[in-house]
Amino acid sequence: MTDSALSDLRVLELGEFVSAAWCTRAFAIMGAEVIKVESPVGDKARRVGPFPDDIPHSEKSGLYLYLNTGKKGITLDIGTSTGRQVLLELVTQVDVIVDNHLPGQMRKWGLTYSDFQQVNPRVIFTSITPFGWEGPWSDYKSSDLVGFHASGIGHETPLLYVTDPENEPPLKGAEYQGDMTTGWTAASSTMMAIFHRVQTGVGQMLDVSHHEALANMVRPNIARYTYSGDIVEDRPAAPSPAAMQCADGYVALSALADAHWAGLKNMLGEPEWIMDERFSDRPGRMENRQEINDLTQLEVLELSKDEVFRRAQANHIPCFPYNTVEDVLKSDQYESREYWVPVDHPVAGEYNYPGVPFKFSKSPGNLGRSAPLLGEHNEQILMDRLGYSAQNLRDWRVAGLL
Amino acid sequence: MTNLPLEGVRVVDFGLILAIPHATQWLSTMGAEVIKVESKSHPDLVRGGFGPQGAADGIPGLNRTGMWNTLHYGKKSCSINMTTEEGRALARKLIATADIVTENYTTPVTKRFGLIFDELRKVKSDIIILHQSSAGRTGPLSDTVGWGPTNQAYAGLPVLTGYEGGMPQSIGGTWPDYMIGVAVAFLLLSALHHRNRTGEGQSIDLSMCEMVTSMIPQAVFDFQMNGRLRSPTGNRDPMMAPHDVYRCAGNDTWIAITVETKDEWMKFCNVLGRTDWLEDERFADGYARQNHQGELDSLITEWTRQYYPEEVMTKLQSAGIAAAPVSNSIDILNNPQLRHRGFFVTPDHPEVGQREVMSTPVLYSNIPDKRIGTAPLFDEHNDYVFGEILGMSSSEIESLIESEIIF
Repeated sequence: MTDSALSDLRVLELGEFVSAAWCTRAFAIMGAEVIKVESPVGDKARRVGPFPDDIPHSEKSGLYLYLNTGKKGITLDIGTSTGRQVLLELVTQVDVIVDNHLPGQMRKWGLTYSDFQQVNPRVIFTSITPFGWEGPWSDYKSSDLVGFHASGIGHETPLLYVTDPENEPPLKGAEYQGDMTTGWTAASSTMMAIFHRVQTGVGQMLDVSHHEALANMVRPNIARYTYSGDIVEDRPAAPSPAAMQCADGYVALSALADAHWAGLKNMLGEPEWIMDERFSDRPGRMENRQEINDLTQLEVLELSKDEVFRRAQANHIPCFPYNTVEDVLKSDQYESREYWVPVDHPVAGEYNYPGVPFKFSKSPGNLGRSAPLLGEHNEQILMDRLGYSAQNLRDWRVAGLL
Repeated sequence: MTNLPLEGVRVVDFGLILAIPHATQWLSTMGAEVIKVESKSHPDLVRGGFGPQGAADGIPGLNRTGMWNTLHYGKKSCSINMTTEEGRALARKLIATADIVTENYTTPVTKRFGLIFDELRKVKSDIIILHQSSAGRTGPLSDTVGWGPTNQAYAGLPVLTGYEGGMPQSIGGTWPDYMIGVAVAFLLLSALHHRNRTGEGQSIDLSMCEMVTSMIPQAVFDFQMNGRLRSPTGNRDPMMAPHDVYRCAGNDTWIAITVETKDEWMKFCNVLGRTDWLEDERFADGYARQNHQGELDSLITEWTRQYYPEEVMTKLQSAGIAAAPVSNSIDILNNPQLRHRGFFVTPDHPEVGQREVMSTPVLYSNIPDKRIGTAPLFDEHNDYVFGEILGMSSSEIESLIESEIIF
């Protein structure tokens, strides 16, 4: 009986904040057992929020609750010799370790791949770091903001025209897009190492660089240079989708391709301007896109965003409204797919969580249990699994190790 | 020498444009055989110079775009006209030999082409098929058309991204296509792992909109917890300051800097030679700095403007402060750290010669050599696919070419 795709895997997370937690969350959704190891003060996400009534509380951070559903949680100071020893015992029982501490920190703690390999040759050590373990930037620090901009995506954001570069600096995507993308990169590459282990019987270390994982998102820019000699130094002059202002908000509308252009003509009832010779082929439309956008804008300004969205889609034009969170929480589409999942947490209470955005027909993913309380599974893991005594745990608690 | 981990896995790939090709390329570099099914009747936009990406040396041609060649190296190409019943029958024969099928047509086209699990299981009982679409394959919006930038709008991301007080802004680089491609690799390998353990195939229905909404949890929870609709804050952070990009010497050059802890703030003031800020009550702690970000950022800019971004990075990183230049594509191509990791490769393509492109991410201690190869010419592998895999004679193939089934 295996309802879940990855129910045979056990994953140990040595994660702080978003990227490692996002990676192991993917494994938890697919049914793996994930044990998250937090320092005695708890994960940073517990302090970031948002919090109900804006009052910080380590068990009520929306970010932490969301990132850590489906996981078990223990506390352990892995920087002490006892903590390290306990951790290495735990390593003997897992398939994968996902970590996102700096290489220097892990070296200092004596927790590098060779330490893990020694106690468990089959273990896969997926290490997420800002820039990788080797190389001229390997000791540098980073953050979601720094990684986003160092990778080239920030230079392309905002997508629309930048008319005043001095006052419109390169821009970061909201929240932790960089950390989460890196988490996905780590999850996929870890699965590749699982397949490698099935073949060979041995584990390995995966050196996942946040910087590189995000540079991977601007893949075509390099080819643009090496193929056409275009140097993409100027910030965006993206053709589309245009942001069209409507009576009650904006829609994103993209109609420059031939098929979509025919749809736009039909949607707008063939106004005179649209028959302009200069707009008759795609290169011409690309060249005159600003003018086209301005003219289209006048046609839709007084309609509601929903009206424009529906009319455009009826004409097979890629177009969606710019939704707020309130809009998406009420989306018919999401409701019909049962996207929002109510999760009840013993301290924080019940909220609708964004659900699993992919539907497996035979081994469906699910969010699983609510996020662990700080140290919730210390007894279960340290006593039941590793055989330590209640006295051990009391001593360690007093010594500040848990 | 060990094999690559996905050797023996065959993927029949109908994926168009970016997200799916990005996923299957990664699988290909890890050893999977990826066969792209294309047709002259609807060539992939990416082959035709989609977006800003031009063809090599400005000479047009299906095999000449950088965009195609950077997303398809190592794959094979065959041509099947899926608008005909004979074409669909041919595709089913090929799928009968495969492990995975990937596609991202709009829902009506997918149905017309019969690329659905209940059809395909008849020819391959344990097939895995992944559908990627704007809003998912069910529900009132199942038939909508969209691409990355429009989908992120629906999902709620752009109203959170942008300049303070400004209009909604989308993340560039055709976000979220490449990100979703990376996630798709995880989904496919999870399904394959499940099949290997149980013998069961299945379908996967991936909604791009839902994927993007799943990546804005703070806004989702803040609305539910506090009734607050978050709005754009530029590069700023609700907790850290400094946390922004700062103008440097040179043309449109910027440095991204984040200061998180008290210790980092002290080091930061030291590097800038402004230990007086440590006494300044406007900047006394993170909360105070949050409330005086405008003043603080102008003062920091006075300093950063004197230097090129690389100089600022070196000064700050040497002191343990997170900072890096805002990079454009040339900066990325020349980046010493990415070069050190061997992130660029140079396939030798029969039509366009040697051109540098990105490799795939992550260094594996036991998989030293990813398989790169070159991007397939249009229908380059027809003889291999129809002759070798499907065992068709050359006269059979010839007749299907004449009737524009292989097309």
